Amino acid sequence: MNNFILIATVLASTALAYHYGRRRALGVVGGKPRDLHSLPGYHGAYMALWCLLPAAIFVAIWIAIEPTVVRQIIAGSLVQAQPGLTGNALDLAVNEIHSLSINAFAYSSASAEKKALVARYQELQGIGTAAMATIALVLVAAGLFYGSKSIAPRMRARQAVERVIMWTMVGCATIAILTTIGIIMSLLFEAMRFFQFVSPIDFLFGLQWSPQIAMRSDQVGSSGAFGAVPVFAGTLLITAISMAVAVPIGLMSAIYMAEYSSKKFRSWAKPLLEILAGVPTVVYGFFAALTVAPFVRDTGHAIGLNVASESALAAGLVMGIMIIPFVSSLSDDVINAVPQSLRDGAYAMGATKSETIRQVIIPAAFPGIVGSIMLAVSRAIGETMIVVMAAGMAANLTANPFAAVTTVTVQIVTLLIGDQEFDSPKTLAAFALGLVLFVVTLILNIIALTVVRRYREQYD
Amino acid sequence: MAEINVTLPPRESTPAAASKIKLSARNVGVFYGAANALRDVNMDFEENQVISLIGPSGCGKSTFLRCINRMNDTIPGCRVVGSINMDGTNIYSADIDPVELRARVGMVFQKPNPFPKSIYDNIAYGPRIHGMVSTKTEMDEVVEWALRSAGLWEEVKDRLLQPGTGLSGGQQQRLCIARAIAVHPEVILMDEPCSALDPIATAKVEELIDELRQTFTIIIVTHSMQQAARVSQRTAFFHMGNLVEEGPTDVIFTKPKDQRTGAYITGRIG
Amino acid sequence: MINALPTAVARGPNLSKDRIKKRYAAEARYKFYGLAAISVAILFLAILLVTIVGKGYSAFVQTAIAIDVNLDKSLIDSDNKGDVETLTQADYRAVVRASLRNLFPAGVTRGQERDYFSVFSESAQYDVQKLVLNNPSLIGTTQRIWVKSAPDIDMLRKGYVGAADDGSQRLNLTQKAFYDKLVADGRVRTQFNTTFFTAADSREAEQAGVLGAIMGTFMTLAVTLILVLPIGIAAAVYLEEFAPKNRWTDLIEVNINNLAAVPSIVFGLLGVAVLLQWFGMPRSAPIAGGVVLALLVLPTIIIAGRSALKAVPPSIREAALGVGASRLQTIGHHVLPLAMPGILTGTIIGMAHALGESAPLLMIGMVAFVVDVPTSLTHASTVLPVQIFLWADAPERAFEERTSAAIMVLLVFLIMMNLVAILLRKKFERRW
Ligand SMILES: Nc1ncnc2c1ncn2[C@@H]1O[C@H](COP(=O)(O)OP(=O)(O)OP(=O)(O)O)[C@@H](O)[C@H]1O
Ligand SMILES: [Mg+2]
Repeated sequence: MNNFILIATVLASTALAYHYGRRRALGVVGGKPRDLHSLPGYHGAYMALWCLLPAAIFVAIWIAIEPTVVRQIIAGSLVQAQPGLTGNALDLAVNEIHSLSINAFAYSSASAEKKALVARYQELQGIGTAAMATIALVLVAAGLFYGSKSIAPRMRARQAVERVIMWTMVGCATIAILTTIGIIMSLLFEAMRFFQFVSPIDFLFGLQWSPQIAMRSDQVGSSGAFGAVPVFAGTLLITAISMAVAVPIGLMSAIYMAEYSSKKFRSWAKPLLEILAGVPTVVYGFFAALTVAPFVRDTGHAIGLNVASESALAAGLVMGIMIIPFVSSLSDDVINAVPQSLRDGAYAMGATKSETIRQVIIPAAFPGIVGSIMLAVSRAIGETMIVVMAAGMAANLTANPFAAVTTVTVQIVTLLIGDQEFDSPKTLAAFALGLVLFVVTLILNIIALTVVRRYREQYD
Repeated sequence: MAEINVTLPPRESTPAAASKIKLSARNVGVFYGAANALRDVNMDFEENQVISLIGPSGCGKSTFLRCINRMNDTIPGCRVVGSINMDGTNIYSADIDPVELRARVGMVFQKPNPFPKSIYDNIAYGPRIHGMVSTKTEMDEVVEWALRSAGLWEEVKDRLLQPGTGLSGGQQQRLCIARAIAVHPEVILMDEPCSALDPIATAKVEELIDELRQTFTIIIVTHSMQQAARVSQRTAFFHMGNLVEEGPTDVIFTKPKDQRTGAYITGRIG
Repeated sequence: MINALPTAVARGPNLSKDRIKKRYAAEARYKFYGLAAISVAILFLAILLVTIVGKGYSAFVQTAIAIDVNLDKSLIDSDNKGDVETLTQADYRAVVRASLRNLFPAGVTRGQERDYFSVFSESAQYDVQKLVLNNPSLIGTTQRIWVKSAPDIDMLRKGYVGAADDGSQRLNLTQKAFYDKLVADGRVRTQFNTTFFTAADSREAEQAGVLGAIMGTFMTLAVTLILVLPIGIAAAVYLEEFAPKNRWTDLIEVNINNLAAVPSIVFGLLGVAVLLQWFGMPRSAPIAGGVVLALLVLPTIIIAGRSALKAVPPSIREAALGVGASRLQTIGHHVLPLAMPGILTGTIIGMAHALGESAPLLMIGMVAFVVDVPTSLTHASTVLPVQIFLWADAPERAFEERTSAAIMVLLVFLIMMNLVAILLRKKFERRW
C-alpha cells in the first residue's frame, strides 16, 4: 500500500511537472512559442523526466539491493546467536526467517527466538521502505527544482528529451540480450553448483538416473544416481518418433500446397494446418494421455504386443501432430522461394510435375528444408507439456517405442515442481538438464536459422 | 529408334528434303485471363531451319514461343486457341501429352536456369527421365556429346561434378543448351538466349545455333536485328499481338512489305 | 561433330506408351501422397476437436435434485439471536441431513445412510446457508430447493458410468434404486452448470469451476501485456529505424531470432532462478508469471513489430523529414501510427501464445491448488492451461469432463483473440 502511495505521488508530480514546464516555457518567452528553441511540450516533458527518472532509477536500484542488505544483517544476528552457522546452512536459516515473515500460519508455531528475528526482519524491511520513499521524494523535489531552473528560450529541450527516449529504446532492445544472458548465467550458475555434487562426466555419461534416492537418504548427492544418458535417450526416442510423423506429413503437405493445389484449396487448407500449431500444448497433452495412449496400448495388446500405458509411441505420435504445421509452413516458404525458372527448365525438358519436384525443386530447396526440420527438432526436444502428461517418469534406457521413457523436460518439471529447496542436487539437476537442453536447442536453432537465411539470400 | 507407339508421328529416321514442314500454326491466339496477348497467328516452320521471331517488347513473341511446347499450360489462367500441327498432328488436341511433346520440343530460356546440381547431372537429367540410357558408359557418352555440341566440353570436362550454378553466365547458357539437346528433341525453342551474354559468348552461341540447325529445327526470339540476320533463314515480325509479316530473313530485312516492319527494323518503333 | 550422335541420343527420348503410362502413374501416386498427407493432418485436427468437444460438452450441464429443507429454528438459531454471525456459523449440514432423511425409503438404518447421503453433493449446506442469509425470515419454514447431485450420480445420469454391487462401479445398486425413485418423483433435473463459471478450483468435481483460473490468467496476461507492449514497440522501433548496422545490432538481431526458438521451459528455469530466488518475487503469483511470459513472447512481438515497420514505405519518412520533423517526430507522428495495426496484430498473436503456455508457469509454481478466486497480483493463483493440467491428472470421471470443458473455454478465448487479429489485419490492410 505504501508503495502504491509512493508511486502515485511520483506519477502525480510528474504530470504536474509536465504542465508546469509547458507553462513556464511559454512564460519565459511571454507566450510567443516561436521564440522558443523547442515546442513548449518538450519543455514540459523535459521537466517531467527530471522529476521521474532520478527517483525511478534510485527506487529500482534500492529494490534490487535492499533484500540482500537486510539478509546480511539478519545473517549477522543469526551468526551471533549461533557462531557455527556458515554457508548453506546460514542461507537456509535466513530463508526460513523470510518465509516465516510472509507465512502467518508457520509464524504462529515458531519459537520465540525466531519470532524475535522475524520481528527484526520486518522492522528492517519497514525502515528500508521508509528510507526509500523519503529519498525518492527528495529526488523528485530536487529534479523539479533543477528542471525548472534550466528552462530558457534557447534550451534544447527537444534534443534532451529525444536523447532520453533514444536511450530508453536502446535499453528495451537490450532486454532481449539481457534475457539471454540471464538464461545462460542462471543455468550455468546453478548447474555449477550441481556439478559440485555430481561430476559432469557422471552426469553426461552415466547410465543410471534415479534422482529420488538422494532425497530419501537425506545425504546430498552421494547416493542419488544422476547419469542422464537414459533421459537423453528417451528424449531422442520421442523426438525421433515425432519427426517420423511430422516430416513426411508436413513435407508432403507443403509440397502439395505449393505445387499442386489450387489457390482455393490452399486458402482453406493452410489456415486449418496452422490451427494445429495454435492449439495449446496442454491440450495435446490431455489428448495424448486420455485418448491416444490408451488407444495405442489397446491396439498393441490386440495384436499381442506389450505396450506400456505411457508409451513413447503415444507421446511421440501426438508431438508429431503438433509439429506438422511447423514443418509444413517453413517448408512451404522454402519451396515457394525456389525460382519459377527452375520449374520452367524442368518442364521444358518434358519432366512431369513429380519428376520436377523430386529431382529439381527438392534438391534446390534442400538446405532450406533441412533448416526447417532442424527447427522442428529443436521444438520437439524442448516440448514439455505433451511429454509431462503422456510420457512416463521411468528413466528406461531403451529404443523400444512401446516402452515408457522419460525426457529432459519431464525430468526438469518433476524435479522442480513443488520443491523450493535449492541446495539438494535433486533440484539443481533440473538446471543441469536445462543447460543441456538450452545448449542443444541453441546450436540447432543457430545452425538452422543461418542455413535458412543463406538459402533465402541465394534466391533473392 | 523408339517404339512407334505414340500419338505424335515418330521422328523421321532420315532427314527429309529441306522443304518439309515441321510445324504449322493456324489461327493461334492466347489469352491471359481476359487479356488477349496474341491474335490469329498463321505460320509454317520448315525443318532444319532457324526461324527468328522479332518485334517490340510485349508484342507476344515469348507467348507464341511458349505455345509451341505448351509451356503456357503451366501458367494459371492462360488459354490458347487455334491449332499448332507438328508433323501433321495438332499438339493441342486432347490426347496429346504435354510431357511427351516437350521431350520433342525443347526450350532454352532468356535467363540461364541450370538446376542446382552438378554439370553432369544437369545434362543427365533429361536422358534419365526419358529413359534414354541404360548404362553409366552410355550416359557418359551422352553428356560428353551434349557438352561438345554446345561447345562447352573443353571448358568443363575437368569439373563435371561441380555445381552448374558455379559457371559464368555464358557457360550457364550453353549448359542449358546442352541440357536441351541431350534429349535430342526435334525442335528447339530459344527465348532471347543471348540477352544475358557478352559479345564473345554470344558469338559462340550463334555459331552453335548454326551447327545445331543440321539436326534440329530452331525457333529463336531475339531483340538483335543483327543476330536475326546472322543466324536465321526466315524471320517473323510481331507487333502488338499480331504476326505482321513473315518471310526469308534477307527479304524481311531488305524489302519488308509492311511499313511497320520497316519502321521497327530501322529503329523507329519498339 | 554434331553428327557423331551417340546411339543413345540418336534413339531419342523413350516415349513408348508403357513408359509414359508408368511415369504418369508415379505422378498420380505422388500427388495422392500429398493429398493424403494434408488429409491426415486435418483428420488429426478433427479427431482432436471432436474428442474434446465430445468429452466436454456435458460438463456445461449438471444434475440437480430437489430437496425440501426444513429450516428448523432449533438447529439454526435456537437462541433467537438473528445476527449474521449466528446465521453464518449454524450447522447447516445437520439441517440438510435432517431434511434428506425424509427422502430416504422407510427402514433405512443409520449404517445404510452413508450410501444415501452420498447421492447428494456436500455443497447443499452452502446453498441452504446462502438461502437463509439472504432471507432470514424463511427460518422455520420448509423450502424446496435444487441442490447439486454428487458427481457420481451426475455421471450416471449422463450415461458415463453404471452401478453395481461388486465394487466395479463407484455407485452401488441401492444408490441407483434411490436415484431412480427420485427421478420417478420428478425430483431430478438437468440444469446449466453455473458453478463451472463462478467457482474456483475444488477437490469436489461438482463444486469446481474455472473462474479462479480465468482471473489468474487475466492478471498474468495483464502483467505480460503491460510489459511487452511498450518494450516490444520501443525495441522494434529502435532496431528497425535507428540502429546502426554494426556487430552489436547484428548480435541483438541473431539473439532475438534465437530467443524466439528457445524452449519455453527454459524461461521457466530463468523465472525460478532469477525472479524467485534473486528478486524474491512471490511464488505462484501472477506478477512472476506475467514477467516470465513477457520475456517469452517479447522476441515474437519485436519480430512482428519490425516487419510492420518495414512495411511502411520510405516515402512517408522522407516526406515527414522533408518538412523538418526530427527522426523521432517522424516515427511518432507518421510511421508508428501506420504500423500500429500490424504491431497490434503481432501482439495479439503473441498474447494468444502466452495464453496457451503452461510449462514455464508450472516451474514457477503456478500449479497451486487455489480454492478462492485470486484478487491480487501477488497471491497464489493458477491459469487456465495449468488448471487443465491439474484436472487432467485427477482420477475422477467428472474431472475428465471438466478438463475437456475447460479446454473448450481456453479454445474459445484463443479463437476470439485470433479473430480479433484477423479482423484487425483485414480492416487495416493497406496496399501502398
Ligand atoms: N503470365 C502472364 N500473365 C498475364 N499476362 C502476361 C503473362 N505473360 C505475358 N503477358 C502479357 O502478354 C503480352 C505479351 O507478352 P510476351 O512475354 O509474350 O512479350 P514479348 O514479346 O516476349 O516481350 P519481351 O520482348 O519483352 O520479352 C504482354 O502484354 C504481357 O504483359
Ligand atoms: Mg519475352
